Amino acid sequence: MLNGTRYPFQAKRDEFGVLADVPYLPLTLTYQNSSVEVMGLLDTGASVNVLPYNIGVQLGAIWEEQRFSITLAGNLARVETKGLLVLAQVGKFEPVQLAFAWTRVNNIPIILGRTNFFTEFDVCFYGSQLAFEVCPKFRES
Amino acid sequence: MLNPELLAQIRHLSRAEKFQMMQFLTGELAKEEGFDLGNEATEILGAVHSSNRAAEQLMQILEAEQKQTQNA
Repeated sequence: MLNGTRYPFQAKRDEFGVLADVPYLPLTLTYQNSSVEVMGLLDTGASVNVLPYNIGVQLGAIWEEQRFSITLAGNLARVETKGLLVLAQVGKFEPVQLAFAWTRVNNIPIILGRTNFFTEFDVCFYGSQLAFEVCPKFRES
Repeated sequence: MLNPELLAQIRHLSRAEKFQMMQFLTGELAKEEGFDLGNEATEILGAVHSSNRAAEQLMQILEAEQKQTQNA
């Protein structure tokens, strides 16, 4: 992958304490004047990016002020979720705007899904090497 | 009023420990405000794999934001 940045998988414990190597990407999220360094789970199966409640709060976002409601699937259609636009910087790449489904739930990872992380970045997984590479999408100049 | 000894102890925590403490406190506040969603964390992790409607809604927000930026 040309101009890609390589990252190792991270060893994480699940709720049963079992270790597994998973593709977590370090990135900096900025909302208005607040920035937070976070780790986002790359999930090509996820329809959307998901932001846990506490990260939105750390970014200074105010739940009640968010105008856009998002409808998650299944039973969660009844759970209030907001749309939140955040600037995201991956490594030394130019910051891009990511749209997150901001939930009221804390104990979930930040999920980077197809809309719109995987439309902004190309990712190549090297599962046998426990690594992945990321580069911004091609933009015609 | 916060206990000064508690504040002094917090000040000596590592960055990761401070972050964990923030997560804990945010969780406690959420519980107090009635947002203790319990199993919904698991449900959300499952639901995001079939939330195409939510994806459309996020794209609409992005497009509206881009139009607004272009017109500014």
